[in-house]
This record gives sequence, C-alpha cells and structure tokens, in this order.
Amino acid sequence: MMVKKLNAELWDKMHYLFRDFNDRMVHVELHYDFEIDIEALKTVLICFLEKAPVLHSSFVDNKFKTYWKVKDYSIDDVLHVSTPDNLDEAINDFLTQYIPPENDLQIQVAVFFHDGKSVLCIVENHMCMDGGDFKYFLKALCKNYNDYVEKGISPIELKSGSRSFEEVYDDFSKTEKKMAQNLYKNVCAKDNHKFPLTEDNIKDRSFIARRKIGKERFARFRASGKKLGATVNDMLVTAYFYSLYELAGFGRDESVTISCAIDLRRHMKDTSDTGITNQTAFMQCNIPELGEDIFQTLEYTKQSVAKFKKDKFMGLYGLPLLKLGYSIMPQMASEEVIKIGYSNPLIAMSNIGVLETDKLSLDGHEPTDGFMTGAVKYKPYVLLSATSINSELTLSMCVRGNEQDEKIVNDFFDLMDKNIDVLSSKA
Amino acid sequence: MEKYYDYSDHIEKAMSSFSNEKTNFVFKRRVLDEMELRTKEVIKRGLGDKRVAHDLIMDEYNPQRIVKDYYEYLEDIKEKKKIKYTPIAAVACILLSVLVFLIIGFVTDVWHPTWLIIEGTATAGVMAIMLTAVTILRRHKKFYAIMRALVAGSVMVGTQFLFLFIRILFDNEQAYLIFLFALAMMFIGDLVLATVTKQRLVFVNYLITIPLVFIFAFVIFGLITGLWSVGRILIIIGFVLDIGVIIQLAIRNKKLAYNPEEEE
Repeated sequence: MMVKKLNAELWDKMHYLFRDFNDRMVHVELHYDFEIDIEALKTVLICFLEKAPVLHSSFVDNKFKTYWKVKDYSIDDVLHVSTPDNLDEAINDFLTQYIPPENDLQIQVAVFFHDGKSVLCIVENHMCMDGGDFKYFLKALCKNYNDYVEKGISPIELKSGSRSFEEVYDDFSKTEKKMAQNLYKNVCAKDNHKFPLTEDNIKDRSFIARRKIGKERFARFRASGKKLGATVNDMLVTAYFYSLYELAGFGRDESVTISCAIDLRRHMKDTSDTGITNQTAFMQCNIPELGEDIFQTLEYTKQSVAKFKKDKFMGLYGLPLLKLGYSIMPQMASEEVIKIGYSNPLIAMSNIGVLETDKLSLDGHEPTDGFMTGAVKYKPYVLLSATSINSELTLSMCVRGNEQDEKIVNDFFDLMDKNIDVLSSKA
Repeated sequence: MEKYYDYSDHIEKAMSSFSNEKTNFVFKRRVLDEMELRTKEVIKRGLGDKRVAHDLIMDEYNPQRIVKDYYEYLEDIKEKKKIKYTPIAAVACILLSVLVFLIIGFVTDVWHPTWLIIEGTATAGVMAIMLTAVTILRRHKKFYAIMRALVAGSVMVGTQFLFLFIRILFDNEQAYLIFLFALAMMFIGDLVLATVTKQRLVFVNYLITIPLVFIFAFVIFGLITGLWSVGRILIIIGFVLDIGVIIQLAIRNKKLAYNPEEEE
C-alpha cells in the first residue's frame, strides 16, 4: 500500500492535547431485537472506512507537524462478533476499551448476539469525529445497511470532504467570516468547583455509569420545561447544577460553572460536503448562586444560556487563536503554549440529543434501547452525557475511578432523579 | 456485468473533454492501474462483494477527482521538467559563456574583465535554480524556512555579481554599498515571500521590514552623500509608515470586532 498521510486538523490536535483529561473515546450501544447480518455490516463498514480513511489511520505526534498515517487493515480487526455468556459484562468490557491514537484503527465495532437479538456497540476516537458526526455516521450506517440488504445498493453514501474546522465559516457572509476569523479571544473555563470524586489511584479503572429516565417521566419533564419556557437542555443543566450543589456541598451563594458542549454545525447550512470531523465547542453556563429553589436556578441557567445564544458567533471564540498557535509554532512548542492558556472544564455536560429510532432501524427493526456517551474522564474532570431514544432519557457519566467513585456517581444520579422530578412538577 | 475491475470506460468518459495526447494516455493508464490496485486492496481488506468494491472505487475516482488529478498531473510534469531542465539549461549557459569568453579572448586578446560574462551567467544560473526551488516548494506548501533561505541566498548571489560588475567595470570604490542594499533587498524579498505565501502574522514582517529598509537607505544615502542629518528624515519616514501600518491594522480590527451586546 502506498504511504498516505492526512492532515491533522485543529480539533484532532486539540483532542490529542486532551489526553491528560480523558481517554478520548466516544461510545454507542444499540439494542436490536433481531440478528444483524454480519456480512452486510462488514460490507458497509469497509466502505465507510474507505470513505473516511482517518478511521484507519495512526496519529503521528511529530515534534514539528502532527499528521495521520493511513494504515492497512482487515475488517476482522474492526468488527468483532460474539455470543457472550454474560452480555452486560461483554458490553461493558467492550465499551470501556481505550484505542491509542497511535493504533492503526481508530474505530472498533462489536456485535453481541443473545437470544436471537443483537447489540451493536461502537467505540471511536474523538480525534476523528465528535458526537454530532458520530450520530450522522450511525444513521448513514443504518441507511446504507438497509439499502444494501433490501435493494442491493452499494453502501457508499458517507459524506467525505474537508475535515478542517474552517468549514464552520463557509456559510457566513464575507464580512461575517472575517469577523469570526478575528475572534482572537482565549476562552477560559476557570472554575475550581469539582465533582466530589476520590483522589486518583493507579488501581482506578474505567466505568460507564448510567441512569434511565423512563418515557412518562421524561415526557413530564419536557412538558414542564415547555410551561417554564425552558429547553430540555436548560432543564437538564439546572438539575445538574442543583444536584451538584447538594452532592458536593457547595455554598448556596457560590457561583458555579458547567461547560456545555455546543455543536458548531449550527453555523453551517449544509455539512454534506465536509468529511467526518469535530465541530464542537463549549459554552460556559454560569449561575451566580444556587437560588432559593430549583426554579430560581432554572432562571439563572436560562439567563446564562440566553446570553450565549444571542451571540451569532457562539462557540467560535478562541478558534483563530488556536489556529494561530498551531500554525506559527512547531507542534512541540504550540502544544506547550496552548496548554498554558487552556483550562479544561472540571464539570461539563454534553446533550447529545435524540437517537432517532426510525433512522437507526436495521432491516425494518428499530433499536429497542441504546445510548451514546462521551469520553471516559480522568479525575477530577467529569462529563455528563445525555441521550434519548424511544422517548427515554439516558444520563451517563464515564469515569476512570474506583468503586467509591461509582457509588458517588450513582448518588449523583439519585439526586438528578429527584431534581428532575421536582422540575417536572410544573407539568 | 462488466468485469469488476474494468474502469476504462469510466476513465475515458471523465477525460472526454481532453485531447487524446500521449500525456493524457499515460495519465489514464496510471489512473486505471491505481483503481485496479485499490480494488484489490479493498477486497483484501475483507470486502467480499466485488460489485460493491467496483462501485466504491468508481465513487472514489469520480469524474471530478479524475479531472482534478489530471491538472495536478500536468503540474507535476511541468515541475519535473523544471527540475530536470533548469540545471541543464544553467550548465549549458555557463558552458556557452565560457565558450564566448574564450572566443572573445582569443580573437581580441582581452581576458579581463570579459570573465564577468562567465560570472554573470553562473550567477543567473544559480539564481534560476534557487528561485525554481522556491516555486516548487511554494506549490507543495512545504519547508517555508528553506524557501526564505533560498530567497535570501538568491539576493546575495545576485549581489556579489553586481558588486564585481560595478567595482570592476566602473572602478567604483563604493561598490561595497551594494551589500547594504542587498541586506535591505533580503528583507523585502522575505516580505514578498510572506505576502505571496499568505503567512500568518505577515504584518509583523511589515513592521520589521519597513523601518529596517529605511535605516539601510539612510546608511547608504549617508555614505554616498555624507548628508547624514538630512538622511535622518528617511528613518522618520520609515517609522511613520510603520505607525501607518499599525493604525491600518487597528482600524481593520475595530471594523471586524464583534460585540453581541452592541448588536442587541
């Protein structure tokens, strides 16, 4: 095979820099009530890997310029099929794996069969794509699988194109583009409030804790949000704030910040001509104090979010500065300089949104359950992920910790449960 | 169905708007080989359905890509020609200049300063090679530091010839001033390169180059005329221009500054 190199884009490098804070893996688990056709899935996966070569590339941390080196592979190294005795354990073991960036493959897929059903699990490196494109990838995977199985259409409908972060500017007017490219502002998420996990320990292992909010409760939650003039995201962040204060014992008058992931594709009208990539930034949602009750916390949250939303360049601050840093200095220097100015949020949330079952159906079978979650964070950093499927909400937190941490996270979910119910009481 | 790896019609169709020249054929053959190789590669990776492999490779080598690759290929050919023929042409010119020098010498018995013909030709040859290297590196967007060195080097190579030319032909003792001029030209060359290659922070080059060039102009002017006090105005002009650049930059930044509060 000819040696082929791919440019390491800005977000690839940034996520590589995040190696001290998380394992950079994005996870998805989808349950189907039938047995997936493995040969068809293999065909789709090979086509997708060929269309997105970054998924079978190894990241080269060259001291001067980082890049991806495209590697040869066999589909059997990507797709793992088994019928485990202990399904939950198999899923957990698969999902908590770590793919080093130097690996030849940046994606791992597993299908677990049990009782005539299947569980499709995928783990991929966040350096290749974020949750937004991962959702697109899954939908495209299902669509191509269906078209191939049902109509014999070759499964090659995966977008390909530039992975550059600058695609985000493409739909701006000339002046707006220049303005956005001039936003040399260091976005610093400095807040010392921490999620109360235990100290780091060499024996810590990765785990994914999750909590489900059933259909009825989630419906009430959404209805209540509507009445209160809040989005699901506002409501979730509020519950997150309130639970955090209760769990960590922050003073009621203390100001706390939660960084919320925002999809920069909101600035793009059409993303079909871009490759799979990262287009995610954070907005700092800050409340000045806890407030008298959770509804006042919600008001603070809404105000903070509204402040961000009225900014037409939401999430684009700091990108030109990062680009400048990476382009005028060699990798070894730029990383060090960026590290000085960068402060990783200690408490974050990613509302991945709805996993649309109709678009994730395989061979006419919609997924019966599933969730998607972000990277395993290293203490003291935490990220709460939220996805909904079949009108059920799944909250998840991936942590590298011990049993005590798992208990703390579950206690946190108990508080979330309680606060979600309080917020839902206005429905 | 056509043979899974038969892509010739697809390539012919994509290339239909181009004349059937030899280069065209070589390119088409190369694309065909690549496509066949890629097909075998994806099959080896586990793609059992050969029809899908065929479609996948057809999609990868879509007509737009083939045409784009063709233009790249033509550029590559031009580049290879440049790499091959620039040194040959330079050496041929130098040999020719030696011949001219010898003919003039034997016919007129004048051997000095006619050797400047060889010197001038060699200088032009070396400069041509260096600047060709710059254009090649620029196309590949690689090794900016080497490009800068080549631009600076070509200025210096040219200057040494000018120095000899002025010093010997015109017997001008102040010919050494050409080296001061060359230093200024090196900075200007660097600025032009930074502008043409759209370097980030090119304004820093402007801020450094403008006053430096005027300082060199001041020194040269002073050494030639002895009017140092009058020449000082050159330094002032340099710094005024620099301030002009800064103001221009500030105005531009202010125009582009965005304040969501104001917009509201």
